[in-house]
Amino acid sequence: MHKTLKNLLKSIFKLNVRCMLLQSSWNFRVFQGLGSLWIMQPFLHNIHRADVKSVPGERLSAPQRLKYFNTNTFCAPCVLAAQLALQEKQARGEYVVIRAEDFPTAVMAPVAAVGDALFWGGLRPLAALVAIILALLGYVWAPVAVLLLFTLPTIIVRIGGSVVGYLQGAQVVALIQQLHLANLAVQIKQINVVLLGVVAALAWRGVEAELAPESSSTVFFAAAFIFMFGINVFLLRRRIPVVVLLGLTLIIFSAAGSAV
Amino acid sequence: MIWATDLSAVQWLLLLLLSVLAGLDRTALAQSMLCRPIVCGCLCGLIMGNYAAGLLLGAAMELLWLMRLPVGASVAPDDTQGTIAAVFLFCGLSPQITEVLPPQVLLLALLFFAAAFSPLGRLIEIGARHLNDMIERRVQNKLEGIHTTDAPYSLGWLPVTGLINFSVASLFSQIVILCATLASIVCTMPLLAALPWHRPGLLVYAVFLVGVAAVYALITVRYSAVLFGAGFGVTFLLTQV
Repeated sequence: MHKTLKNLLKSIFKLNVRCMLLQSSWNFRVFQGLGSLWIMQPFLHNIHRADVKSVPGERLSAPQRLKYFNTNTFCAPCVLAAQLALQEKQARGEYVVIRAEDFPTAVMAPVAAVGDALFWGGLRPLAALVAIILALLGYVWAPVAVLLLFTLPTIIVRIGGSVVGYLQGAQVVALIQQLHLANLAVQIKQINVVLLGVVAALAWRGVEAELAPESSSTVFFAAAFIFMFGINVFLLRRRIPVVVLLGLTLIIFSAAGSAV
Repeated sequence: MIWATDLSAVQWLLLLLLSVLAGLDRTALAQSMLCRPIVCGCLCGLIMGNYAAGLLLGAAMELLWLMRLPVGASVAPDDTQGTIAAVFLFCGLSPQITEVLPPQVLLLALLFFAAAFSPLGRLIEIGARHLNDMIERRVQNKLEGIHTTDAPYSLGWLPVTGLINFSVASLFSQIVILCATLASIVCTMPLLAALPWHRPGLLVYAVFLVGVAAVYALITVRYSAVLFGAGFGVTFLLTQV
């Protein structure tokens, strides 16, 4: 059952294509469980069929079990590819450190924690903030930044993760640990805060441009800008909805615009 | 809404496709970021013939909802359909009511109402996910009834059912947010038109201020004030020239 390189690439490609639909049947009972079952079904079926062929006279069985599964969507190919590798090892009768059926349950939460912090908490705001800065600077192709800074890395992680996951099996967990992805996520978040400062400065330059003929009111608006920023941050941290604060800020700024 | 009849069949088809594909991208499909406001807003603006408005509305909406993350069981407000609705209405309404209302005020009003109604899309998405529970029960019952000697139960239909479910939810979400935003604009139009608007351009930057605050408030890293100040200061000095 050892795979040739062609078969391996075919399997990895198939797994990645199917992983694109991991969330298609997301539900509150087993989360991505249905999706992962659907992704793995043809692979498990092939393994089992090959297994049955080696024992003549046995009938085909249904190695399907619906279980809770929830991990970061971009790291899922890595987890599922490692599970597939373990399943193949098991079918060959080789020693495995953890049973293939138990592997996703054991690793999905830590992988989700790292993946969510890196992709959703770090990379997505980074890509969006770069796009917003480019938009404020007048670059019409600004949205391309989102695709370059987020979509492209996630495709690389999906494909690379599935290859590494398949080749390393259960050892992939140790490899993820060595990459210190949580630290990388924190560093990206720090860059995001710097980029937020850039957005705020560009927005302020826009305000200045609007006030250009009456520069005497600039100081007043600078104070209002800083005050409203502080108030907004304070209230948002106390879970006041952003829409309420948006309405409040617009009213205050329109009143200030009329008064000055 | 007379302008809506001026749109070609191709434009309607593209808008419909954008709404469904972007909706699927945020829920069921690849999560390629087609659903992000700055991307789908631009695409909607491109279809409607006003790319700049799409970019501006998309960038503002992006900042407002950026830190509402789709992690675990949490469902973020539907900023995708909110942005598409706002851009669609702005591109359609702005040439009609320029004499009554400055375009910036219309843009801000649409942005505000679309953002306010985006959580309705979230409820619809949660409903769609609960509908998927029925699929889960069906599969579970089927699998429990299968003996080890039976042929495998084919799950080929599974993603299709989910995709249909989420597509309908996306369209429904779009209709709800669009109608609610339009109704709010129609109701508040007399008030907005009666108010004196001095420097409406300023208010657009006020939205960015709120957006920056919304992101800053939720990023928790060490020395955030110093880092923010550094970014602000350097940009301020560089743009002074």
